[in-house]
Amino acid sequence: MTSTDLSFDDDEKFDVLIDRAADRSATMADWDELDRRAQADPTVWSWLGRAVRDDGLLRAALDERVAIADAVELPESTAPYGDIAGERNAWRSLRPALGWAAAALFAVLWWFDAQSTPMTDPGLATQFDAVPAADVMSFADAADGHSDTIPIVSNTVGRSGDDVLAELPVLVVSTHAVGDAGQTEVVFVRRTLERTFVDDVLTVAHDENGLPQAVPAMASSSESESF
Amino acid sequence: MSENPSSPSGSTPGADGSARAALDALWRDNRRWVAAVLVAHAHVGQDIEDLLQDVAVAFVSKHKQLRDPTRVRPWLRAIAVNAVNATARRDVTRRRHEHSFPEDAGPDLAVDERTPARQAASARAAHVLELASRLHADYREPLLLRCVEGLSQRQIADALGLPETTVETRLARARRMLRAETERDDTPAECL
Repeated sequence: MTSTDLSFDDDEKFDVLIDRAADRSATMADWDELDRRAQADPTVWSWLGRAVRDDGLLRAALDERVAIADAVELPESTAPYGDIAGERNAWRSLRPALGWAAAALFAVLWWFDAQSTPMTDPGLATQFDAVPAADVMSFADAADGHSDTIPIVSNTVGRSGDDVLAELPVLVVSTHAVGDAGQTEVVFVRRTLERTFVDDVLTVAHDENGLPQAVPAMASSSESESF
Repeated sequence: MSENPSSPSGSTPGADGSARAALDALWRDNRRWVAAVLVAHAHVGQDIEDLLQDVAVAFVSKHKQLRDPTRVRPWLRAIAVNAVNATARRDVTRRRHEHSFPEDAGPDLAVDERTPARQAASARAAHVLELASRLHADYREPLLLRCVEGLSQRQIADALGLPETTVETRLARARRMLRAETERDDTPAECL
């Protein structure tokens, strides 16, 4: 920009000239104009001196103030800070499927049940001849080992086309003697084998931030995906 | 300061492995003037480093929202101003809760090892910055951005979303107002 660009009134022209000179961006034309004005009014140099001094002081103070910026680097990941909402949304989107995940987990437990591991209380085994034995497994234990591979079926029970195929033998979770009357508290899972037809089969994966994410499962063939 | 706002090397953060390096370079190229924006807008008691950390976090988490890399300056400035305002709101809420338990700042034990002349010059510079901070934001921000190293008038106009001529006018007026303030300080009290 040269002095010919100036389209201000005279005071503003003078301010802009001083500004350019203090800013070290004045052109030769600007300096000629300042010199011409200074010949008529020598205080121009005083104004310029003040402007240069203020500019230098301001730059020094600001430089000191913003030097801290050199130590501020970008965070490696913003997951603990900025993606909390994203994490909430991820869980919210998974919530409808979690019920089915739990149901699928019981199916997995049933599969383990089929391995015929011994019952925890052998004395009770005779009373539950019809009941397949099972290890007592906590939900967390089961989830730790299998949650990544449990297909989640995005559907609801009772839809037209759903079928109840069979009621499976109950699964004993725990037994506990109660009182003196010889009664035993039995905690068990009643299991129903159902069939449904769905458009999408999802499974839980994790994205690069370790957040849960529903992703399409591999298309199942008729036999290989039974569990 | 590179004229290309996307990065010093002119590269744009992409989806490949070098994206992170490009993002870091972009941040380093812009963080000083972002700090100047924070100085221009910060309220009393707000810590510039804390604010800059907030901007850095927002920069990483939102950089994919930046569709046009040439618009990085106005985008970063908006993030910085938002960080100041958000922190100010948080501080107001916190102060309400802490009203009964005012912080005890304690004695300042830092030892200034600079020569008296250097200390005086530094104090004078800090005073000029304080005077500049009292200017209206329309004048204060371009003035501080101009004084931070390397930012041209065109780049300031780009960051502020203003015509370059408007920036030049504001800079000239800001310097005139600052001169008036420093002149008042220099004038002996009996002359006022």
